[in-house]
Amino acid sequence: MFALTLLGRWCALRLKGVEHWLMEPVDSRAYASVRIAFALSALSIWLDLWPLRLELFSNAGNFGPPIPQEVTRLNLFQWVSGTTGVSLVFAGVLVAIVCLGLGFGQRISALFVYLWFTSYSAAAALALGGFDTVARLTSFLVAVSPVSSAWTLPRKAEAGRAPRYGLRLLQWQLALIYWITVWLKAPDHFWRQGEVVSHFGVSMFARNPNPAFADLGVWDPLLTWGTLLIETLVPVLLWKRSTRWVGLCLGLVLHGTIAVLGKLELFSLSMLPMYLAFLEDSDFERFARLVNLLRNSGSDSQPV
Amino acid sequence: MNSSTATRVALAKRWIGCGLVLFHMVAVSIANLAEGTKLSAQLHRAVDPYVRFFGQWQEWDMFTTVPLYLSIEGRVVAKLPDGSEHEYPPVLPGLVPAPDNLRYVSMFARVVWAKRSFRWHSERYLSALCRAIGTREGVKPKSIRLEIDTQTIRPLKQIRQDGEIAEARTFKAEEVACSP
Repeated sequence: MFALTLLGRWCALRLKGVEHWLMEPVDSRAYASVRIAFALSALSIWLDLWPLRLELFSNAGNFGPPIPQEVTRLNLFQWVSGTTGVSLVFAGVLVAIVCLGLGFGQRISALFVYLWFTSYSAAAALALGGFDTVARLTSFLVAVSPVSSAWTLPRKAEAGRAPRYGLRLLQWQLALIYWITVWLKAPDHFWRQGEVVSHFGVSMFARNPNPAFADLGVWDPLLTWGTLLIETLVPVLLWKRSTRWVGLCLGLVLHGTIAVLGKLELFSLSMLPMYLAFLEDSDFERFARLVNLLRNSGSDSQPV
Repeated sequence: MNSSTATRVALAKRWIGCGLVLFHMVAVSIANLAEGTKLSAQLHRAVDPYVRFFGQWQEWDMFTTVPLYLSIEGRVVAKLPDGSEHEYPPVLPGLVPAPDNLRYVSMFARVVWAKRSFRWHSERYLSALCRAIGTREGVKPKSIRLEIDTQTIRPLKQIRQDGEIAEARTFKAEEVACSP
């Protein structure tokens, strides 16, 4: 009987811990930064898709008129497939993305943007990149996350508190992306040999493919294995408060390099909101102190 | 509603919320399990309806090996009823050349080396091409196939020797009949 009571107490304590882990009130500026970064990445993807909208989503385009797809997927383009209709949907999504970024009607804007992402992913699966997947998953998590009153244009509200669950979902998704990709890459011959960066540099994914990349020497394995190491470590580093800034810097270096040297800037942009989901009160305070310091040192150096 | 009932309702809502969040985490984790492993079939069956409906399907197999091409360009080859073969640019509407966008590179590669999961979309694309060519020629082709002209990256050792990155290679998708 005593053992059962002890077990019951232990379980209750664990459950309380889980509840705290998911529902603890946190600085809502984290949600605001995720929302704004997501609006920016969604806008970039919208700009990439706008010229292709009739080719990929209209009944005159590559996939012809819609035929009854599996009804198990949300797909707006099943019902709207005329050329004018598709353009109108895109125009509406642009308005929703801007509203989301500025903080107008956040929930409804986020839901509409999410519906667009999941619809175009279902309609034109052949023409998707990894960044579409990242943005689609983020759009869902933004749509179900608490609405943040911080950093909105309608009113300059004080940063409030909001339950943490939306940030936890984004953090979990980021960890899955990196760890699954490492799991899939690690057995490959070229990743093991340390020859991936040189191949990337001469491929269609490079911004300026150049034969010089074939001769990277010792840098090739260092950069190839370094990529795997960063992808493995970043989720852990971001999770721990004491190493969060190291994780942010490593992620910035990884995705910044990919965006500059490769044609994959949309992927780098679409990963940004998930990184911001790790920020906490202390990070915002530290950032504000840094900005103040820079501002003060700037005003000190002004000639009198 | 008295205060203790209100507290209980709030607590219940909180726990339902926790349950949903944990379910989502488990579902997206299972969505990443490779199909074909012993456990995955049952687990996938349990979460697939949720994953599909809410658009949570995901694959992180980008760059699981090195990129193999410097460029990929697609074209359509149609066999007309008189037996002659004609080439067309691969993009609709209008059978125009593909714009310079990595999305089209992925699309052509997926049609030619079609994975099972893309078959439904590939068939739709090829049917639309059959109709468009039929409208242009006034007669529906007997069959069509997508071909891709690539610049295939040579072994690094050879690139170091002469500075030539790639060599031309063409790949053909299987021919599909155009339905009458």
